[in-house]
Amino acid sequence: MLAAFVHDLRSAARGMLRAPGFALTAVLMLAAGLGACLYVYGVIQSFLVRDLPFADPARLLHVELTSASAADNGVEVRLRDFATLEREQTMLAPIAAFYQGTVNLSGDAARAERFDGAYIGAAAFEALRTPAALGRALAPADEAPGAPPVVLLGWDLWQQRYGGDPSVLGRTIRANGRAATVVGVMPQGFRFPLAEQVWLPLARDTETIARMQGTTVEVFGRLREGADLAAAQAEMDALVARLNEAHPGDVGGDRAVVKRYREEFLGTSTRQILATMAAAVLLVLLIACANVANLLLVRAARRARDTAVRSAIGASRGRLVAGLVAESVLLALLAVPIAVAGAHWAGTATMASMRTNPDAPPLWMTEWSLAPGFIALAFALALATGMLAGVLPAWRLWRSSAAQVIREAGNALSPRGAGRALVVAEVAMSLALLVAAGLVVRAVLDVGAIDPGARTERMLTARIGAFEGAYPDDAAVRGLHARLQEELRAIPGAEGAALTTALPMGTSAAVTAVVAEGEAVPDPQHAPLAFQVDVDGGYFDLFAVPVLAGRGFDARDGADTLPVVVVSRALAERHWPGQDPLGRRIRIGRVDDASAPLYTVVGVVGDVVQNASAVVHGWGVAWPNVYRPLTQSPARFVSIALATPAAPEAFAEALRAAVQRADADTPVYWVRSLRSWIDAAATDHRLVGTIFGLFGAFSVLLAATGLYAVLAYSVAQRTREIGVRRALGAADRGILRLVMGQGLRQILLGLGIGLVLAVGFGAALGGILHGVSGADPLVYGGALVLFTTVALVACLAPARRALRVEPMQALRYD
Amino acid sequence: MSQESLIHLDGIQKVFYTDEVETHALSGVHVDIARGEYVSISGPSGCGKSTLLAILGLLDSPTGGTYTLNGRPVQSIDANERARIRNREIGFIFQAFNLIGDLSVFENVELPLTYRDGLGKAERREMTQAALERVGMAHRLKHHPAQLSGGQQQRVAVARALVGKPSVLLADEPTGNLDSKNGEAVMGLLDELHKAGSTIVMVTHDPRYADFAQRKIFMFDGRVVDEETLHRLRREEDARMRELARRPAAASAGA
Repeated sequence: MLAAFVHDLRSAARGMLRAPGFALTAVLMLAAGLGACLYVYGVIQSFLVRDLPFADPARLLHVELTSASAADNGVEVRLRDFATLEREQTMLAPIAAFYQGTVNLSGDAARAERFDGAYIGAAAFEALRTPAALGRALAPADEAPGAPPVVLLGWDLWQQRYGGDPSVLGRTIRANGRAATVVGVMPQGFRFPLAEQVWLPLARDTETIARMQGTTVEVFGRLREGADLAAAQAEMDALVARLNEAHPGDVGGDRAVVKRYREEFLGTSTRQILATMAAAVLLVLLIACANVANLLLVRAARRARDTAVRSAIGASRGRLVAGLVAESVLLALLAVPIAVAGAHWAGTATMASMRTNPDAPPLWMTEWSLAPGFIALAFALALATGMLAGVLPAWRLWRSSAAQVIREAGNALSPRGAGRALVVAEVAMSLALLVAAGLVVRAVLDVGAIDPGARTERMLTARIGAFEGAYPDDAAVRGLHARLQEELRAIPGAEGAALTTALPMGTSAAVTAVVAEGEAVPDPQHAPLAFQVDVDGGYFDLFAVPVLAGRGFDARDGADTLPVVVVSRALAERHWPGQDPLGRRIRIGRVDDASAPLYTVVGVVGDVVQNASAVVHGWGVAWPNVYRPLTQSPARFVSIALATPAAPEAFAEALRAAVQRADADTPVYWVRSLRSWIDAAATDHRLVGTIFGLFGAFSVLLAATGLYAVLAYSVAQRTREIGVRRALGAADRGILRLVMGQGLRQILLGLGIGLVLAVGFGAALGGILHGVSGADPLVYGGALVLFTTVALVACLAPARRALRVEPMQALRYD
Repeated sequence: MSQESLIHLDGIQKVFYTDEVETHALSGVHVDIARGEYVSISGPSGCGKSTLLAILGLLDSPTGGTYTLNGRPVQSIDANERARIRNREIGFIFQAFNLIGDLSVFENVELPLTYRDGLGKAERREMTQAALERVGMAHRLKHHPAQLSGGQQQRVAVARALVGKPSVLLADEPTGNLDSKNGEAVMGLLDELHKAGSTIVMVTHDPRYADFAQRKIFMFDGRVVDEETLHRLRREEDARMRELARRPAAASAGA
């Protein structure tokens, strides 16, 4: 039996060598379908299946707060409340907290450098069950007030900055301007919570800081043996309820959300995107299978006389069927290496692209690897695909009796009806994919077409952080800002510079509550929001933000003068519709606190889109802006913007040098053009658009090829019929109607079914298509027109061939 | 050309070119066929009778000479006009029936009418029904060709040929795929049609069926010959073949 199948495989291979065009087309179609499937499987594996790279990751739980009325269901816990939870909860052992932040390292031989770091409780390392590779991890004693400052390094940082020198242990370096002792190096590959490489102790100064001014932290822990998620959830809910009783309105949420830590990294939209991609790729694979099945049907019909001869000399139905199946299996196996290579290339590129996103997922999630399971899946899929593609022709052959095969020599195997059904299915699936692709691409284009309201081109940007160690008070920070402004403006060739806490279309703008003086604040949790940006006097000019009334900031706005703000037009219209906003006063942040400062409006400027991610994810493009002068609100973290006459990257070294002159110990980081930030913010969106666009284009191409193959074969089979019709007086029009009519019927039926599928797809995509309706008529209309045009073009060649049929030639065909 | 002439062929030639070989299928054929005449064309295989029928039916064009149908020269009209004339003036009956398997009996017979402008559905139905009744197949309207015997299929083909009331019926070996009983039945049908006024041109190699015609045309090597000449040419050819058969060794040695 095996020997017979091997013989069939050999025969199939010889047959393919004799028909290389067929073999190549079929292999490429299958490879594309399989490759797309493997690619999406790899992405799903990374995002949905792969767990955190720590021991027993299923027991790591994440805790956050939410409330029934809150728009954001992922509220961090106040440090003081964490202390309560830590003390009173029993389900997590241990429970830990951290927050992420910049860590500037200096005070050693190397240049001052900025790293992504975390301020983290010592219990975290116990919860993660990861000891240090060198020295020790952080200990509870490190968190105590007055404890000697320590720093824990990541493996890569240790290798790159200290050359892997073990004597770094015990060395004193400066972390954020403060002297700190290196106590350990974490193992290679350890990153937590995202891609952090340096950890400082979480300062437990809960007793010295006012409740509302303390930092908020992310909380996680390891589920105690014998406990379960539901029990942990119930306990946390009870604790949060008690906190709310004790501090009404100050907790940030009225309910706890306890979930597996991995879930923390998966938004609803990620799941929706992945689910839709999985459905889409399945359609692509089915279309590819349908097409290959069609090709096999045509090929089986063409070789019907061979089959008849084989049958006549004693081949059983089983052997004839095995021959067909062997051929399709061989095709699929040939497609595997191409599919695996393609999926690997696309997956690696996708993950690399995702890491450029400022909101990139954790590193372990964006690591693409060709696991053995991946290759096994490729072979399994290939075999299944081959069987699926070969099953129809094989089934048709199985149904035919030997006598029928011999007598009809072709008609028994004719693909007509089955081929048409496959084309209808292909058209339907392709239209659904095309509509889905159109919807996603439209959403991406819409994001790209948004007017940011500010200059975003030829703008070099960077960021610096001024820590308490080197800049203990506001005056020192103001001094740094002044020196920076002076140095930046002296850069030869630059068109100007500005300092701001957030860049237009960036990711750093703070969202804050704003109310006008005298406005009622029934619920501070739901006060009107705005993007708050603190800027210097050059900001509005540099970014070409028009001053519509009043003025921008200037020398009149000093540290000790009247607190002032500039508001955007949208904010002015929201709070003082039809009135002059100049001279009015607002509260920012603590809107229900009568002692909070009031800011006087001195200017109104045009609206600026402050957060590109907000645009991409539909969080609130229209949120208005409120600006404060940096002189009055000297922020420790500011972005530098340098307007350049040409490519911004050419000024990168000049910018670094200017910052060095202002302060040699303050590292400058994120030196890149504003355009690259904006592009990076839309990476996920663009990636999904590209993937869906490729799926759509590929499916249309496949459907057109399928339509062409079936019609071309049909014309060849119907040559005699066309001749008869010619003989009976059919003119060109009649023959065209015959051929195109057949194609059109399949197209129309397929389009009808495809529209229903597309509506389903549109609904599934609704959650990730911000600003574009899942039933967008333009996309549906465009897809229908595009598809019909492509399909008609595919029908043209067979139709032309039919027109060239000479009646005499056709009638001799028999 | 007489006043009654429906078909007038004058010096018709047909030359096929295959690579560098020139084959004269028809060499100066002159034929006149009057309206209402029943003519048979006979001759050995390869004599050009099917080619002549194809030219008569405007399925093929002559490479020389003139062809006048119903008083109109048709040897060099364009393809669409030829299709129109085929549809209105000519009815074909093929040896292999050439019914379309996907269509029912009714649809097969109706088919030529669907290519004709100005005919409503009701009119087409009436004409189709009448044609099928005329050949005795009105009880098989919804059947498909595969469900019919060979004789029945040919009767349907005859109905399809005459449904458009053509000027002439062209039959190419109409009994070639039938047993003798069904063959005779079809010949009887053609005889009836002729008696009812149809003009029929039939190609056949069977002398029994050629006898059904009013007039017999004989062909040999692409030319029309009389019966006596045909027999003489055949005898000469037979003699040559016998001579060749007597010298197999010599022929083989000389090869």
